[in-house]
Order: sequence, then C-alpha cells, then structure tokens
Amino acid sequence: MKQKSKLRMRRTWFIFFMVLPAILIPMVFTYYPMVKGSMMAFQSYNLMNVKNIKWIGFDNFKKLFSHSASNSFYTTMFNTVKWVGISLFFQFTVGFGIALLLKKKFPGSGLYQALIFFPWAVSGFIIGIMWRWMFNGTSGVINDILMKMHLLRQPMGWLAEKGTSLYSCIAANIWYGIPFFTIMITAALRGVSEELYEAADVDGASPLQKFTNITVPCIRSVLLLTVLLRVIWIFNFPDLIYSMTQGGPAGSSNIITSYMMQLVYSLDYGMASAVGVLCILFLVIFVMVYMGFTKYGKEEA
Amino acid sequence: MKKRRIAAMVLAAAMLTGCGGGGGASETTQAPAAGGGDTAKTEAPADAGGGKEASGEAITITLVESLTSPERTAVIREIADKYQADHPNVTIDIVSPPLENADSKITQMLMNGSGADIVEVRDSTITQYATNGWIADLGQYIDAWDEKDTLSESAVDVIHYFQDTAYMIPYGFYQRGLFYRKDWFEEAGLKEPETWQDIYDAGLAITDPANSRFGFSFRGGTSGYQYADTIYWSWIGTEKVAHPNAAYFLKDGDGATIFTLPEVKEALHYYKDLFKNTCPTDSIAWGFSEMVQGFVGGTTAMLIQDPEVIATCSADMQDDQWELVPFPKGPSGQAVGPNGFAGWGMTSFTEHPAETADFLLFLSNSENNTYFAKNYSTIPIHTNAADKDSYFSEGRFAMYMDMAAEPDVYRHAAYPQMYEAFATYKTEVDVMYQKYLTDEISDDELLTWLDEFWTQAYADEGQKW
Repeated sequence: MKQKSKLRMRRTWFIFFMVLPAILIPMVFTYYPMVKGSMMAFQSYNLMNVKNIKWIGFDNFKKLFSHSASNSFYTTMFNTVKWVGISLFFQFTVGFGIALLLKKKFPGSGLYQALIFFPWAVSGFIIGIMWRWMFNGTSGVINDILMKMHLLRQPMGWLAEKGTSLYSCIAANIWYGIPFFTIMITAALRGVSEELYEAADVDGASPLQKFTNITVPCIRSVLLLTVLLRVIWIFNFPDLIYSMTQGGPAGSSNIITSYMMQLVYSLDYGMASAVGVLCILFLVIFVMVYMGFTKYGKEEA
Repeated sequence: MKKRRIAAMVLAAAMLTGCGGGGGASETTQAPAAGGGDTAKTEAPADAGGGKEASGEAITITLVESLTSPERTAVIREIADKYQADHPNVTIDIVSPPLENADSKITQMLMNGSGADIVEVRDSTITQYATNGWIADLGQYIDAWDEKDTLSESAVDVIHYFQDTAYMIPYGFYQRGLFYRKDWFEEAGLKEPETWQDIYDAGLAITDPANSRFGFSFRGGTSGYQYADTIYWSWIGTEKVAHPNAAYFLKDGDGATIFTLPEVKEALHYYKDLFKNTCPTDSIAWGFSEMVQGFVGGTTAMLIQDPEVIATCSADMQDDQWELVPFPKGPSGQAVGPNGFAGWGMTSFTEHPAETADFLLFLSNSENNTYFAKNYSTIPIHTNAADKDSYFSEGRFAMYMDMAAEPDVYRHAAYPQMYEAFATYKTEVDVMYQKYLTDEISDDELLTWLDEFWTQAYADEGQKW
C-alpha cells in the first residue's frame, strides 16, 4: 500500500519534471518579456535618460489619444483598418482563384507552384525596397508602364502623395500575400474527395453549385484559419511600410505597427510599449469576435 | 470539438506574442550575424611577441563600431595592429555589429555594463550615453596628450560637447558641401551657385518636369527638417542663437526660440518655394539614397550632402560633369551648415582605463587620424592634416579647407540634441513639415508648433547647453 503511493508520488514528480521545460521556456522567453515590456507602457521610459524612469499611469495612452496637430494616431488606426481589410480581400480572392486553377495537376504544375510561391520567400524589407524604386516618381518603372499604356500623362509620385501612398503599399502587400493563400488553399483543395464531385455530376449540379456546396464547405476550416492568421500577420507587418514610405508623407501611410517602430527608433520605449499594448488588445478583441462570429471549431463535431 | 477550439486559441495567443515583439522580431533575426559571425568580429592575432613580462599582464581592449563598413573596419584594424606591435601585451578586438542596428546594440552593451571598452559615439548618441553615465571623462588623458595642441577648433568643441566634459574624441566631421552639375550649368549659362538664392534661381532655370530634370535634390523624408534648419540659420546668422549646439534658442532669450523671428518665417517660405518650384514632387518622401540617386542618376542638378558622396560621384559620373563647392550663404552673409561628427568614447565600466585611453589617443593622433579620414572621407581633426597628406589640400577635398579658412562666413549650428524631448521631436517633426509642404497646415501653425514644443522643452528641462 505504502509502496504504491510512493510509486505514484515518483510518477507525479517524473511527469512534473517532464512538463517543466514546456512551462518554463515560454514563461522565461515569452511571457516574462511580454509582461515586463507591457509595464513600460505605464512608465516614462526614455532611453535618452534611463536614470529618470518613473511610473506615470495612463499618461502615454492619454498622449496617444489626445487631439493635437502633431498627433496622427487616429489616422494611423484608420489606416490600419484599410491596410488589413483591402490587403486581405485581394490576397484572399486572387489567391483562392489561382488555387482553383491549380487544383487540377498539369505538366509542370509543380514548377509553376514553386514560382508562385516565390514572393513569399523574400524578406519584407527587400520587397519594400524593390517596390519603393518601382513606385519612384521620377525613375520608377510603374510610371513608365502606365505612361506607355497612355493611362498616365505625367509621372506621378505614388509614395509622395497623401492620397496614394498607403494604397501603393497595399498593392505591394497584395502581391506579397497572394502565394500564401494559393499554397494553403491548393493543398486543402487536393484533399477534397473526387467522389463528391462525381456524385454531384451524376446529380447534374452546375459548376457554381459544386463550388458552393462541395468545395467551400469541405475546406471551410482551412479558409477560416488562413484568414485569421493573415489578419494577424498583416496587422503585424510594418516591414513593407517602413521600407517604402516610413509612414509618410505626413503620416498618411502609417499603420499602428510601423508607428510603433518609429517610436522605438526614437528611443521613447514607454510610448512604443503603450502602442504595443494597444496592438495586443485590438487583436485579442478581433480574435474573440472572429471566433464567435464564425463559430470556428464548433461545426466539425 | 473542444480540443480544436483550444488549439486555435493557443495558436492565436502565439501569434499575439509575436506581435508584442513587433519591432524586436526583425532585430533578433539579425542578432546572430552580429555576435556569432566570424565576419563581424575581427579577431586580433593572439600574441604579437614575447615582450609580456616587459609590459605587464595581457589585456584585451574591445572596440565597438557603429558606422560599420568592411573597408572602414580594415582601416581601424590596420591601426590597431600597429598599436599591438608596439604593445605586445595588448590585444585589440574590433566588434562590428550590422550598421542598421549598431547603435541599439551598443546601447544594450552599455546598459549591461560589460563587453566594451571603447564605443563609437555619434552626434546623435552622445547625449544619451553621457546622460546615462555610460561613457567616461577623458579630460585627464587629453590634458597630458602631446598632440592636443594640433586639434582643430571644431574638434575641441566636440570633445567638450556635453556639459563641458570630455566624453569623446571625434575621428572626423561630416561637413556638407554643394554638389552641382557643371555640364548643365554651362549649358544653361549659369554661374556657380554661392547663395541659397542662386540655388533657387538656377533651379528654376533648369527645372523641366517634361524631361524629368529638376533643380534640387530635396530631402522631404526622414530628417528633412535638418535642411530647413540650416536655411533658417543662414537667414538669421549664428550671432542670434544661444549656442551653436542648441541653435533653436535665442541668445539671452531665457528659452525663447528662433521660430518667432520674422526672418525664420521668410526662410520657411523660401524652403517651401524651393520644394514646390525646383524639386520633383515625390522628393517629399526622399531620404539619403534617393537624394544621391537623383543627383548621380541625372534627375537633379544640385545636391547638398556629406563628403562621403564624393566617392559615389567619382564612380558614377564623368569628372567634368560635376563640381563640389562650399555650402550656400543666406541673406545674413553666413553659410550655416551642420557639422556632423562621430568619434570614440571610453566606457565608464572599462577595467583598464589607462590602457584603453592610451589606445584611444593613439587612434586619434595626427598620423592615424589623417590616414583614417582619407580612407573614410571625413574631415580630419588635426590642423596639420594637410601637411601630412596632400590629399586634403588637393582635388575635391580642398573645398573643405577653403571653407575652414573663412570661419566668419562658414559657420556651424545644430539642433538641441541634448534635450530628452528631442526623442519625441524626431518622431513628430518630419510629419509636421510634410503637412506644411502639402498645404495641410499653414506657416504660422508650423512655426507655432515648433516654438511651443521647444519652449516647453526648455521649461521642463532647463538650459542644457
């Protein structure tokens, strides 16, 4: 009897030690820095003077939401919605379209897929620099093409106009993000059983009916998950904006995360952290709403 | 069913923590290259000779660079090897983090209080390093230095930049000059530009958007305000400002700023006209590389930049296509440009202050500094540099010597970087200027904002120059 409990004790300890790294590593390397970093949001934490760090409550947040000529945080938030919404819509629809075309294997489809995947494999900063020169107002290739097509009479400073800078960045982002959807959805499509389509053919279903009644429901969970992932990733993707416009001109193409980068480089870690905390807050709210709305994971059973 | 939901939640949480690291993520990916890579760390040969007993215990001095380039690291290594040959007990390690985040890397090292004896200090970082007590006073070592008398006036100024304490020894200056297209000017029958007005007039004559030719390489992007500042100072003259390093404040003004002066408003109008009438519209987003590319690539006729651009022009243009002339003058009769500087500082936590300072002075002596400046296109810190190497009295570089010969005309001024508020200023000011240049706000709104910002900074932090 006694021996049995001893054995159980040892087993409990054994399990505990086995699980320990899985608890400790995220604690030390993810949650501790996160909590510590979030604390800066409530401090006046400026690397210009680390001797003068003090608690200031919600002052950093108040400053973010205050109305003044130099504060562009409201524009920044609105831009973020546009940046995520428009990018996602086109990435998803075009990516889905290409995936449908790639569903049937054809000679060279493997190579074609690899080529499609290419933009996804390049660093965001490099893509940003590439597109910055393409959109350049005086020597950019985009102006050149549009002028040769007689769509544009005078060269345009795409990244220099407040009306076009954000949309130029979005265009680059769409180009960058399409492969992700294509690859994920192609893989999901190949998993859909052919028998379903054969059965539908026997019943005389139209291509549209097959699409809405077989294809979409079968890959629903992949679609929902990829969209969720992409929203979070696009939200957290300041690389393009930072390397293309640095949020300019006059803050017209800043999104929340590129704004946060600017704050970090200005050494005002307190403000940057406040923006970071807001980012987490926004995303948590979004994920909760998204999951509730799509009932993600509830259907399957 | 429930499991899936939890899995999705966990996944989402993982993504979110990725967000917390936002800016950091890109930094960490580069970190291994900085610390681990053999390329980044130029190791010294283990021991140069057998003279260990003669000159004491073996020590290692670690020098951390900021404005890294492979060519420059090689030059420093060469000087370090020379030093090691004379001091067999000393090993000098040069650490070269990648340029993009070198300063934040140095900041981390300094915050940790280990791993560095000498760090590269820049005009943009000296206030931070000195305020936080991370770099040491070099005063006693410089006083005992036999080469202190040949230091140029600018060098002495920089040594005592922060609160009159010798926190660094500069290795050189980045003075700006005016590059212009000689061939275009001759073609249009224009004379060499000497004043800001000349730049505007010539720019207007050359600008032809249909052929994508423009007058001036405008910097509207990051740090564009620095160009507006130099125009203000050229308009008002440096006698009116409180201190060359805090040139937003008026002399004896008790915190009053230059932004209320009528001359500054006039200068601001000039700045906007220059942009609207002689520059490409997209130059509102230009930074360093676009400006230089605009000039070298044949879009713009004039460019104001640092001496490092000389090398780019020499490589990409014909010699008779371009010319480098002194900084333009304003209505005050003065040409007021920034005197960008960088140099070496000793960490306050070094274990071998005497040896470290000795090497720092060796690196800064006339011979080595001149050699360094020549290979790195900076203006040397010793007045006898031109005697040591004719490079500085001939060719393109001679222009800087001409400027130095007329100190009453060619003057220096800088924005007050020593204020903590400068961090906030840097993130907001470019946006404000861009709003003004795109007619979103008026001249008065911009000037009021500038005035209020710095009056407030003075009220909060007091006089710091």
